[in-house]
Amino acid sequence: MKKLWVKFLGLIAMVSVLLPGIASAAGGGAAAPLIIVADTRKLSGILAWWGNMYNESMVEFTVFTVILIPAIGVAFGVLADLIMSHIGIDLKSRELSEH
Amino acid sequence: MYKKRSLLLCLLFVIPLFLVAGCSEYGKVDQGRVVKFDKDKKTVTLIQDMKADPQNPDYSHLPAVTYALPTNPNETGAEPKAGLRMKLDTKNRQVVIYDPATRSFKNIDYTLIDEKDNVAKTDELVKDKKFPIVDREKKTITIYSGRQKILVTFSLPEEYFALPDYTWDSGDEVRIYYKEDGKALRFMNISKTDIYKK
Repeated sequence: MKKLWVKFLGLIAMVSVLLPGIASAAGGGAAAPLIIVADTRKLSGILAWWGNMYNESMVEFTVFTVILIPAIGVAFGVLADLIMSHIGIDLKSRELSEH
Repeated sequence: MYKKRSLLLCLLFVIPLFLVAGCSEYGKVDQGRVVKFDKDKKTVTLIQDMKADPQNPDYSHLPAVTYALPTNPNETGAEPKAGLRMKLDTKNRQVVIYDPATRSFKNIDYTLIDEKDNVAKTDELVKDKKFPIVDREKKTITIYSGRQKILVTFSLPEEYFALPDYTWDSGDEVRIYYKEDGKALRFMNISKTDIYKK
């Protein structure tokens, strides 16, 4: 299981690093790269921070997004578990009923 | 036990990320219309858009600002096209241009010859045609504004026909990410960037 996780994370990292290079190579090289600057002029708070992070470093933005999304998923899962056990839904055991 | 370990793992990943991201000092974003592009010096001069509204940009702010393009070619988008036309005011029959000599705007009243509204970029009237069309014999200029969807032909006093054609063209809209004034860290050509293009 551990090995599978290591392989999976390695694959994500490899794709993140190699994909832009592969895409530009496929484009023939003559065309200008697709460069995007997020417009943060009217943004504030977390949206401005998120947009500025994208502008500052795509690697930082990618790593942050790749790690943060599953982490939020786990956090929500644990929270849902807590709420369900609190209201009496038992997901840890089930009664076998054979007909 | 399993839940606690998951939460701890999450925090272990997320907290350092927030700390790293929180400690970074981010730059600013500037956007405007290009009035000059020096290919050799790799500099771009633009009139800033002060409104930040894509459908109603406001190009009335002076002075023009010059940025050195990023040294990294991977942070530089398509080369911009320069143009001096800032506004086409069909209601007041006026065209506003940027005058590089005086570094100010010039409001020029025109005599209308023909105007067609709601002309889409795919319309046969404008499709595959290069604008502006400056006819120095008939003393007319034809301009197409894709944003306003207006195709207009007008005449001007003789003296204006000595100006180069790009006077009547609108420059590309560009967006710049910078930390130090006048030095772009990332350069995007909005007019030539189509993220939906296959």
